[in-house]
Amino acid sequence: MNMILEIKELHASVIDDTLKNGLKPILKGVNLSIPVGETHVIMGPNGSGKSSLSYVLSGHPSYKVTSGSVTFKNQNLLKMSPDERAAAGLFLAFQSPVELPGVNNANFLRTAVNSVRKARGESELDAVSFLKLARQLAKNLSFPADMLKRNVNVGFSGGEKKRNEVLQMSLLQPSFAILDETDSGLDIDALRIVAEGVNSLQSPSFSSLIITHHQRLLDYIKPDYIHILAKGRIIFIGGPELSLQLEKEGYARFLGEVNE
Amino acid sequence: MSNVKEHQYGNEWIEILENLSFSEQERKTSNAIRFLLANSFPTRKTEEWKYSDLKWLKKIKFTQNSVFDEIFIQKALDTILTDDLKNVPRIVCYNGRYLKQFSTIQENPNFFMLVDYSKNESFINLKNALVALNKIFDNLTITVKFSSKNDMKSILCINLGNANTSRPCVFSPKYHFHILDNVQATILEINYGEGVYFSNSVYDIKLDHKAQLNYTYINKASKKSYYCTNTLIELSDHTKYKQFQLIKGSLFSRYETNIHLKGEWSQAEFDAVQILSDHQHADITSQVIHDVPHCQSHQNVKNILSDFSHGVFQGKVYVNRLAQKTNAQQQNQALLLSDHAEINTKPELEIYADDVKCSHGAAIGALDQEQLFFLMSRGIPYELAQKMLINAFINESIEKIDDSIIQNLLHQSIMAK
Ligand SMILES: Nc1ncnc2c1ncn2[C@@H]1O[C@H](COP(=O)(O)OP(=O)(O)O)[C@@H](O)[C@H]1O
Ligand SMILES: [Mg+2]
Repeated sequence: MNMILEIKELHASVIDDTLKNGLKPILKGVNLSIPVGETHVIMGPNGSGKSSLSYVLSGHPSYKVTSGSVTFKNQNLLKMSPDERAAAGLFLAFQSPVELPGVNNANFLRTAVNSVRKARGESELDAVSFLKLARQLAKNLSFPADMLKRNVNVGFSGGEKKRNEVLQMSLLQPSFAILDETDSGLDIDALRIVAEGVNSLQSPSFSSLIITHHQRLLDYIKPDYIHILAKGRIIFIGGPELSLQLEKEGYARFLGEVNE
Repeated sequence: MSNVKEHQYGNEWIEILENLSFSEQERKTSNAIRFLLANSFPTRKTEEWKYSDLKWLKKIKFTQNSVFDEIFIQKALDTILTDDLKNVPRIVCYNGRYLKQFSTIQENPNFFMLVDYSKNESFINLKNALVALNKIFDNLTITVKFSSKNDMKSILCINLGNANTSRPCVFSPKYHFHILDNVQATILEINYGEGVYFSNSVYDIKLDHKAQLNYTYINKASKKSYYCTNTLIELSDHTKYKQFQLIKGSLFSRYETNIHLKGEWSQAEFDAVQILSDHQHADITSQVIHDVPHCQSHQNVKNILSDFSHGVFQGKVYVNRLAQKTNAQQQNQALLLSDHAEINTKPELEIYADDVKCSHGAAIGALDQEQLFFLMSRGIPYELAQKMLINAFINESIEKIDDSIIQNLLHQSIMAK
């Protein structure tokens, strides 16, 4: 099968200067493969390393990979800088997006789109065609027009920040998206709108990895597989029905089987 | 022992004066020279000069004589005078002297005069070495009076400096800006030049009852030049003084600002942005004196320091016993972009009134790693992401300026190499 992402025995630590050796192990042998075109879900208890995995995949400087490999579109992902990963088609919608005081949202979005287009060998968008596109996509997300004029995420509500993430994703046209709890804190309408935003990217060549705690997002986005991540490892893989079972029973049954 | 030392200090000034070809006779008759000789040469042991070293002033043999280079002047003006600025009435100075043929503001007793203050001791009555050094030269003072008698409310001052690298020169610009009752004025000053020279200027700024002044100062001079300014600002009641300084040029520069709030209900806001690289050194030293109640002063200084550059901020706010209901804020934020860059910051408050709101602070750091990563994760390469965050940091200051032409000019000046 043609894989978009292959993670093998991945061990990674967060750089933590308060510790003696400066490293705190978080991921302890993650194995995960996603075939092209599939949607996979990661569920797991708080603190199990879900966000850490998404940071490692997008190249966050606070994490150090100590062993293992990650292949993305047949390339060594771990050798690429975060901007190269984005250009290669990887996108992470952050669980808690940062605020950028003094950086205008529209300017930021246009710089991002054009950086990625340039790296992909595509022509850059001029200011007018960019704004037209951004306004249309913002409208699809029911995103008030003034969000483009404001500073990136500054003074945005939790839901607005999440929509801004989806707007970035729609503009950057990734072939692989990681959504880290993008559904958390959204009301029912917002959830549907965000899900539609993700679904509009769906195509045979688009794959995704969705981190969530809730079944309800999966009513809109149909997953192929569900993985349970606990204590830094994938401990179980199941079909779409697993999320319903977890919702009812919790993680206890699965956790009992994990050795430290 | 101490006598010997003092004698040596005196000699240091004598050597500088000899280089500048001041005769023994002149040394005896000039008050300014007598002041210099009676005082020691500032060293880093002097409190006000703890972080900035004037030793280059002794090393470099500056001369008073400069070459008049018309081609340079024409080229410089072509660069400076963008479409936005072309029609702003201007005073052009070259190596400290007014150039009539390049200025669009001519002498006129109601507005602009060249005045000899050399016998007038009250003009810039600051007792410090650089003011004295300025005063030993007898060039005329650019005097501008903004009043209701004249329509001109916005002017552009262009200070050009130019010297052969092998023959460094020194010049001493003198300015007196007086804003009369109820008048709102705007001054934009651009400093530009080539080669090794030392511009040592003094400014005497007075705002009368209900006057307002927006004063923008840009240094984009040669990175081999030396700039020192001493500015005395006196504010009467109900005045509004707004100053913004952008410092990009000069190898060594020091900007000393003294603001004296003498009338009630006045406001002084003075911000600065320093963008330094290589071995540039820039020092912002200020002193604000609140003498009367109900006044405000706000100061925000930002330093963006790369390579081996060195930024200095020393700010002192005095609130005297009578100055109740004073609101004084002072803030220094430095961005260190290299391990070798250095900042010295010393905000100080001295408060003798009890019902006041005063605060000061300093924040020093590198660019925020989370913000950088966020931008890069969206495909933006490191250098561009870094630039965006630096601009965001600077924008916070520039956004406060009301005049969009000046805002644009500042943006352009920041982007320029
Ligand atoms: N910067 C950090 N310094 C120290 N520990 C961290 C840091 N970031 C995350 N961790 C720890 O890593 C573990 C996994 O966190 P995270 O990946 O956010 O979990 P999840 O997303 O599954 O809730 C937690 O124990 C968390 O406290
Ligand atoms: Mg998380």
